[in-house]
Parts: sequence; C-alpha cells; structure tokens
Amino acid sequence: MSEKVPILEFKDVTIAETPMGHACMSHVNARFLPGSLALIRMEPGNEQLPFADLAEGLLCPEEGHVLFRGEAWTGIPPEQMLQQRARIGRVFDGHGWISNLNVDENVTLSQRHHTRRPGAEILAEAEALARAFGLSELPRTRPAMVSPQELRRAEWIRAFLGQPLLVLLERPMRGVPMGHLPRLISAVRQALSREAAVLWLTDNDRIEQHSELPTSARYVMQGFTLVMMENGRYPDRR
Amino acid sequence: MPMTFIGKIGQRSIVRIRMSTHLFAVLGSILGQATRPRHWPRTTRAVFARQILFTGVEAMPFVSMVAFLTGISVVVQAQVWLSKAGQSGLLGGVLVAVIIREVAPLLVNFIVIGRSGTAIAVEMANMKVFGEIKVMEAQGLDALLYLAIPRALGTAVSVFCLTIWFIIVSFFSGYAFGILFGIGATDPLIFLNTVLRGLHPPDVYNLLAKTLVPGLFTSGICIIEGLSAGNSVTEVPRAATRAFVRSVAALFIISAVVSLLTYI
Repeated sequence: MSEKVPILEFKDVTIAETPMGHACMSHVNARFLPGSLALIRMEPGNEQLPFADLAEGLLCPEEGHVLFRGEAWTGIPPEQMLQQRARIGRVFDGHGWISNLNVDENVTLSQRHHTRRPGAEILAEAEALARAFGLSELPRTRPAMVSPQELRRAEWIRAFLGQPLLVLLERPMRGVPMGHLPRLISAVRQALSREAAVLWLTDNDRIEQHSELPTSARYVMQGFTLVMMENGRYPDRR
Repeated sequence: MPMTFIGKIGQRSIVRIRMSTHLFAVLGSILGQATRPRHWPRTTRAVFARQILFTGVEAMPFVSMVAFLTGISVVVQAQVWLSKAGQSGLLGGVLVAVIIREVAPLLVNFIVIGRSGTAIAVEMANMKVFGEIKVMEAQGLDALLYLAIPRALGTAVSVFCLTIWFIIVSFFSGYAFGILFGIGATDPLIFLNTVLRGLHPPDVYNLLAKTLVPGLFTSGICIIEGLSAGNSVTEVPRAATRAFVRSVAALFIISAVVSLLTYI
C-alpha cells in the first residue's frame, strides 16, 4: 500500500526573527498527514511561532522548504498559490478580520471568492456551523461590534467552512469559555474524518491534556527547533 | 559621508521615478484585468458595485449642489457678458470650453479625491496597519484583484458619470437662472442647440480622458499610498495626506497634458 502524501510538510525549515516579531525556528522537520491532528505546545514567551504563516506560504523560510500537498510553496505559481490557500482554514492568533466587512461577509469571503457555490448554500453551511459552535446565528454586524468570545467562535466557522484540507488553529480557545471546547473538538473530529490535517497551536495545559482531543502527534519548541513528544512526555520535562 | 546637494536631488529623482514606475505597473495590471471582467470573481464584482455606490451615487447630492452653483455663476455670467458684447452666437463655444472641457472634470475630480480618494487611502492604510492584508492573503485573495481593480475602475466610472451629471445640472441651473433674470434664450431647445453646436468630437475625447484617466490615477495613488503605510497607526493620516497631495498633482498634470494634446 502506498504511503499517504502529507498535506503539510516542513523540511529542514529555518527562519530568522521577522520584523513582525515572529520567533526564530531552526531546522524544523515535521509531517502532517491526512486525518491527523498535531498539537504544538507554545512555551511562555515563545507564542509568536510562525507555523501558520509558513504553512500557508505567507513567509518564506531562509533554508529548507514547506510543502503543501507535496509541492513547495516557493515553486508554486502565484495564481495557483492563491487557489491552494483557499483549501486552508485558519483561526488567527492576532486580528483575523477585515474591518469594513460584516462578520458574515468575512466568514463567507473565501468561499464566495474561490468557488461558484450559490451564496445561499455557503450561508446555510456557515449558519449550521454557527449553531454547532453554540452561536444563535452568524453575526451580521462589523467585527468591532461583536464580543471577542463570539468573534473567536465566528473564526472557527470560517476555519471549517468549505471543508478545508488543512485547518490551522492558533490558540483557538483564547477568550472562549472552556465549556465550548467539546464543540470545537467535534468539528476537528469531523475534519479528520474527511482526511483533513489539523494543526492546533496552544499554550493551555487544560486543552493539551483534554482526554477527548484525538491527537496524533504532540510537539513542543525546544530552543529554536520543533521536537516531537514521546511516550506522553515532552523531552525536556522530567 | 554627508550627501551633496546634487546627490540629494539625484536620490529624490530616483525615488520619484521608482514611485511612478510602480504606479504605472499597478495601473497597467488593473487595465489588463479590466479587459477580462468575466474572470472577476463575484467578490470583486461586489466591491466594484459598492465602489460605484460610494463614489458615484452617494456623491450625487454634493456634486449636484456644486454644479447648480457653478451653473449660476458661470453659465449666467457667460450669457450676460456675451449678450452685452453682442456675441451671443459664441455662447455654445464658451460654455463647452469652460464647463465641459475644464471646470466640470476638474471640480468633479477634486470632489472625488476629497471624498473617496482619501477614504480609500485611509482604508488601505488601516488594513495594512492592522494586518488585514495578511488575513486576506491567507484566504487566497489577491490584493490586486480584490482591492485595487474594483476600486480603481469604480472610481474612474464614477468620475465620468458624475462629470456628465455635473454638466447637465450646471447647464440646467444656468439656463433656469438666465430666464429668471431675463437673459439669454427662453426656449430650452435653442439653448440646447447653442451648446451642442459648440461641441466637437475632440471635446468628447477630452472629456473621456479628463475623467477616466485621473479617476484611475487617483485610486491607484491612494491604494499605493495606503498600502505603503508602515505598522503604526500614526502612519494612517500621513498616508492620507500624501495620497491627497499626489492625487491633486496628478490631476493637474493629466488635465494640462490632455488639454495640450487635444487642442494644440
């Protein structure tokens, strides 16, 4: 049986600190297979990891390659690069909204831009996700008018809308009560069952140790490099 | 080593040439995409429609007021002085030269720069400062296709339409006040005929060039200046000021060049 092609692969990736304040990374190697959830532990003071930007080809490594579906971002033509990014869902660590669009317009933007799906169908999927994430409806006001907690969950909707191949969750529970975690885990499980890869970056022990989380691999940054956790322990924790 | 005076001039010239090259490259890409509207995604079409609404439709009351007052001051004066000089036959030519060739495109472009150009620059600068361009790119949206093209084309189309509207309103108010003060032709068809007789094909090309081209440049300059803002909020007003000044400069340069090319 042929081996699965990783959805995302970091091959000896090295990146220096960027002007945006991203942390340095040195010789990072990792493979994220279809149907797998990788949990990346962010240590205090090292939260600005550029994993998501590298995974989307928004940052170019100084050394090594980041491969999406077997192709290095650096070798993909610009138009195709945009199409590939449309297959990635993301919860941003920082400000993740276009201020002059309503939340519902923000959430459905990528699908409306890249697909020919009817608007009503996209909206119906978004509404269904909103309900699944405990929102009574998709907010139809500017992001500035929505509470941070609801806004974060609206980001979850955007991340899972349109059945993405790769889901990047950068501290998705930040500002959200832990009571909502099972809803997010349920969406992650559904994504994994569709053979999507999920990358979950967290600095929260309670999330990391949650028994329901179907984690395939756990990583931690040790110095500048990414180390895979073995036998339930992080390599530097004794 | 301190830079010499000549060196500073040279450096500034190089910066200006680079800025112009960048602007022309952006406008070239916009025009290239403008010829393929079938390839625009629905989001681009929606932004285009919204831009026409903001820049064109919502500016109509203010443009109408300016046009109305311009009609009173310019058209009525032209009728008064030409009739006093016994040269009423020149009315059409004078009105076309003043209103259609110069005043209407210039004033409408000014209004659009003040209302929409600075708004575009502020919007782009805010998007840059708050990382919204990255949010957009992370979703696979091309800044040129989603931000620049609909705004540039929407602004250009709006400037053209608003100028036509300005001309209609100013001629109407000029004619109406002419009658009120007992000056000029009372029959509207005679007035219309006088104006149309003064209109020639170069005036139409001139009008097209003085509306569509500055409209494109205004939005191009404002988009570039907005997106060139740094990472600090204090950069936003500076970007808006630069955008306004450069758009006005571009407007006068284009206006002068088009006049020279059309009529000399």
